[in-house]
Amino acid sequence: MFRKRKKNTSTRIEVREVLRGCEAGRLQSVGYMQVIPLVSDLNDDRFVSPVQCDADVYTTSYGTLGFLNSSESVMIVPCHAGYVVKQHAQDHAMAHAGVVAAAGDRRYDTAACIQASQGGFIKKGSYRMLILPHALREHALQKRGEKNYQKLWDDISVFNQRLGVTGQGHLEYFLKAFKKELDEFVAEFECVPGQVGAIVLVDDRVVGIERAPSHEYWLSIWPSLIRECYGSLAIEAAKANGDRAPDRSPRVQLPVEIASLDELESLIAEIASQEDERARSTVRDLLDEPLDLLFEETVADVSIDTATSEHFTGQVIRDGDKIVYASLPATSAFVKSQAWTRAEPFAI
Amino acid sequence: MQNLIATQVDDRKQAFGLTETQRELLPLAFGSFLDSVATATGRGTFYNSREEQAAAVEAAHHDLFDIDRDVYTAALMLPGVTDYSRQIGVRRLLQTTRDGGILPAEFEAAAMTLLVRGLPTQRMLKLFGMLRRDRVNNARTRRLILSEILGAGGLEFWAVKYREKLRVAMTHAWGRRTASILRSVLAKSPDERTEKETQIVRQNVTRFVRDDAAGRVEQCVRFVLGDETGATLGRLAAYRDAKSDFDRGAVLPPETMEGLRSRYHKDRTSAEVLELTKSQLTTGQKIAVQRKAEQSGVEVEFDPAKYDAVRLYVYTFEMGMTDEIRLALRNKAETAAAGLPVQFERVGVLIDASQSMIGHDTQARRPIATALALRDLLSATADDAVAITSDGRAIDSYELVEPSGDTSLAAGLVQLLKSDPDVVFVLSDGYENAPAGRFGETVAAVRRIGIHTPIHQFTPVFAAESQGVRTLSDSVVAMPVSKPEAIGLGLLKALIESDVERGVAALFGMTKVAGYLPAA
Repeated sequence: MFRKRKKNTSTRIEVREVLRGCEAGRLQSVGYMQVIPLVSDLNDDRFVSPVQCDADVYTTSYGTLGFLNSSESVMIVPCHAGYVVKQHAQDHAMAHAGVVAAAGDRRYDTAACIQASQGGFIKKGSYRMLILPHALREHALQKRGEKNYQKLWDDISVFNQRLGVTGQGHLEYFLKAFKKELDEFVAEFECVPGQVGAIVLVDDRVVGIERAPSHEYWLSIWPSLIRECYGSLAIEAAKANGDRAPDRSPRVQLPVEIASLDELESLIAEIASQEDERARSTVRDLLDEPLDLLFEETVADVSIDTATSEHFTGQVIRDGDKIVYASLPATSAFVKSQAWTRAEPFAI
Repeated sequence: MQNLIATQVDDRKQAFGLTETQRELLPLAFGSFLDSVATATGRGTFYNSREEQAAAVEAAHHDLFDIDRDVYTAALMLPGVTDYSRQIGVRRLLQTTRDGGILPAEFEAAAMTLLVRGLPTQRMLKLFGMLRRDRVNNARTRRLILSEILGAGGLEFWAVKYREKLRVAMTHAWGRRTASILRSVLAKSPDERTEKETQIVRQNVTRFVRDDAAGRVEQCVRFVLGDETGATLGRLAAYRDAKSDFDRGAVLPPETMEGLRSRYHKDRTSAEVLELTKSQLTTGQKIAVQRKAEQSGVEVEFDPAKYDAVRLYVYTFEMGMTDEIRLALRNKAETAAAGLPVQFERVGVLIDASQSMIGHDTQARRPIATALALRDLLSATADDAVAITSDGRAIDSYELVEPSGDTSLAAGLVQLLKSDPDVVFVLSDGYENAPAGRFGETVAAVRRIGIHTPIHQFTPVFAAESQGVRTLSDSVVAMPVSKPEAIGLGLLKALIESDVERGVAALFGMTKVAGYLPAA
């Protein structure tokens, strides 16, 4: 049973708690990005995303982002959800996750402007949601308590500069410059039946663990995660490789010498089996990692905790001891330092 | 593949006077254009938003139009080109002045009339709305709008069903002032009109209609312009009277009567409207209202034989398969297959049954429905056919396949090839992810083994980000197809890529504009 806790109370769990009830699905791999679907029979329909319930989003002052949940379910605002609107209004993003009670209206004055030198407030309405690029999320989380709408401008400027985009403090310049590439990420990866989460890898490195309360919730946030959050990281990987187009051939390739269709068939099956095992092994390797949870608040009987570990930093939302939502991007230090730990490449 | 399609083109080369530059640019532009017009619908797909689709389609149209407007015009007339593509094609032709082209000017005028007449009414009116929005209002446009509306046999029905759209289109053609004058003049009987008024009516209305239809058309125009008084034509009078007498609406289209009900008969239900007007349902509506009819307890009969196979599959996903529909699908597949010039002994069909084949919400399940209709057609071309899904399930013809999961086609391809088919058809949107590239690698391995069974990819989805259709392998040509009868487009694309002059000749041959062709 959930107990009332004080702010800044900490708890230690393991990543396995985040993945409880999930199995690794078949690895999907396109170019620099790989996704291991997390599949589960557990489906908690009590929670909806802003996309699912068509929530009205608005700003009332610079740094204050509001959500109107007109549904009868509790709304979980994904960690670092953001809105880039075609209005004379300043684009904003959350610096953390949020929970809005059923039929509730909630304003977060800790939000960040992601479009410097643009005035105006976002009119109440339903807009396409994004999740901040991976590189910005750690910064945003560190500044989650600050009531300063300019707090991400410098980070956005550095991010843009790294990707060769001009535009100090304007995230929309990045989105515009890489629209085609970002769209392709959405196109390349498909949700599988029962999927409630994913472990995302870019350029062979684990870059995030995502878990949603239900399949429907997952379907609604996946395009934002794969597009802006993790897609941006794949673009960074491409940049790091000298803008080389990603190799579209499979990572584990068929041998050149194959004598018959029977042999080809068994090779394809064998590689698939190895890839499946690799996916499972990747998940297994993560299970024991300790995760420190720092209690933030309780809303509508669920609690929000900020989670940190050696390799990940993000937030989880719990109903009692049960984790219903988690977003754990890898820390930038981990992304940079990771040597790929997957199973040995397939060999004949 | 080339053997699959019969064209009306002989081997003699036609002299079309294509320049070197045109010859050079045409294959790429034509390929991209065909990919677009065969699949684009102006709606979003699973992967691309509506705006992205529209931008990519515009680019494909622009590129081919710039090379030669007659090739462009003929390409719009190909079987299998979507209505949406025709709409934006006609708009482009009308908004640009003819300057050059490899055929006589009459060809374009005749082609445009055919294109507009081939559109379903609501799409024709939508086209006219597009012309208004884009301020296209030259003499050709005005003549086209007025002749197609005023000369139509079903104008009375259109007048009650599409009253506002007609008013907008005609007012665009006439101008507000003339429309206002016409309304006043038409209120008078022909005997009461002055010479000038008679001339105005002749100039703007009756010159577009047969003499014996003038009175009927004048009444319809009055009605469309908002004057219901004195209407004697059955439907026009029924519309006026149904405002006070619900039962008079029996001859009105259901949606028109539903509009009157919601305003004048709030105590009556939608189910009563459906029961009252079910005899007025169009063929398209009869299948579209089945769910509503079932919920309302109203029996609306529809004949599956009157619908194309893709539509039947979309319907079946929603309402379930019946023996009657299965029989209609079988008949359609066998008829279409009989029209193809070849028969195979053994065909292999691999269906991408992944999540993305569901398509966009606005046209849910259209990609998979197209794939299933193609499966039936291709299977019907053979004495023996093997069809499997991307997850390895063997499926029979006329059976539904629910899309889900990731895309892995390599194992299925090998499985099919082991059954030793004459040809393998892969029906896929071209997005592979488990893992990407495995299919292409497998095709290469198969060729190295020494198996050269032809492998073709048919793609029911336009991919905005690649400005065409997505290919699964560099060595397999992906061909766009929105309905089974349009598989000829694939041949044409291949032909123009290999021989521009022959390809252009084939294009004009397929579009039946031989009367305008230069002498061979």
